[in-house]
Amino acid sequence: MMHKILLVDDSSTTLLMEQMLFGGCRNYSLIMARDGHEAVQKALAEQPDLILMDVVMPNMDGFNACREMRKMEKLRRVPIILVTSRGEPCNIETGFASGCNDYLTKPINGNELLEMVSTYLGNGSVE
Amino acid sequence: MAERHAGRKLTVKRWCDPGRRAVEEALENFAAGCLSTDVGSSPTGHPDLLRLKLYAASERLKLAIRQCDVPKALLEIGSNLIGCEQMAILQMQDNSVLRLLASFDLTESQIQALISNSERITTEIRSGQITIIGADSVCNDLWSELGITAFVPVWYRGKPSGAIVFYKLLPQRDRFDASDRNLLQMLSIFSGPSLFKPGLSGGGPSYGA
Repeated sequence: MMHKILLVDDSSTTLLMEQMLFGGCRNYSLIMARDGHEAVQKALAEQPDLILMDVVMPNMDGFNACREMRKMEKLRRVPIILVTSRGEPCNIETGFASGCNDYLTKPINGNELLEMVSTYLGNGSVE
Repeated sequence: MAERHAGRKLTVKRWCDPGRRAVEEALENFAAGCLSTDVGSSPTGHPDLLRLKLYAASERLKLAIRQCDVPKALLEIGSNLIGCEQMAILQMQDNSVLRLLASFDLTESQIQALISNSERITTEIRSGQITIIGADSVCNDLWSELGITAFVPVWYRGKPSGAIVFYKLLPQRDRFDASDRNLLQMLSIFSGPSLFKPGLSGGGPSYGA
C-alpha cells in the first residue's frame, strides 16, 4: 500500500535529507512544502497519510500550522511529527499542545525518523 | 545587510564567485561519491546516514554557490545537520587581518572576543587543523576564552584562508561525533572558493592582528 508523506521545511538541506531517507522506501510517495501556510494548503489538497513538519518557518510556523490542521475535519487524524531544532522542553510541550503526535529534534537521526514513521504508517520496504 | 531569522540576529554579506563552476563540479563529484554505496547496505537496512548528511550538505552548498548565499547555507547546514545555531565565519586576509564575514546569534561579547583574539585566531587558521574542543586532545586556552565547540579552518587556493567557528550546540546535543568531523572536513575543503572571492569589496568589519 502506497503511503503519502508531506514534508514541510524551509530548509532545502533538511528536505533533501528526508527525501533521501525515504527514497529507498517504495511504499512512500513524497510531497513538499516550504512553510506552514503552504503545508496547510497542500495537506488539504493531497490528504497525506503523515506529515513531517519543521517548526521555525516563514509565513506560518509549524505550531500554528499544526493548530490549523487540527481544526479541519479532513486533517484532524493525520499523524503529524514535528521535526525541529527547537528541542527545549517548553517547545516540545507547545508542540504537543498544538496537536502534534510526535516530536523529533534536529539534527535528524535517520534511523529514529524511519522507525517513527514506520510506527505510524506500517513498514515501508527498503529496496 | 542584517536579517532577523526567527528573532535571532543574522548578519551576512552577499556576493558571487565568478569561478563557481569549478567548485560546483567538485561538489557534484563529491556528492556522487557519497551516493556510491548502495542504499540499505548497513546492518539495519537503513541508508548510510553519514553519506546522506554529506550528500545533503554538498548539494546545499552547490545550490548556495548558484544563489550566492554561501554563508547562509553554512548556517543552515550547521543548524540542520550538526545542531549548532551559533556560528561565525571568518576570513583571514593577506596581512593577517581577520574579517568577520558572517555571524549568527552571537552576542556582542562573543564578537569582542573574536576581535581581541584575532592574532591568535589567525595563527590557528594557519595551522589548518580542524579542532573539536573536548574531543581533540589540544590544550589551548583560546578555545575556552572564545567559548567555542569547534574550529574549522577553511581552505582556499591551497592554504587555510579563514575559519568557521561553532559555538554552543543546541540543547539536544552534548558533543560533536565522528559523523560531524566528516562534515566539518567537507566544509573546510569546499566552502572556501565561494566564500573568499578575490578583491572582495565591502564585506564585514576587519580586525588587525
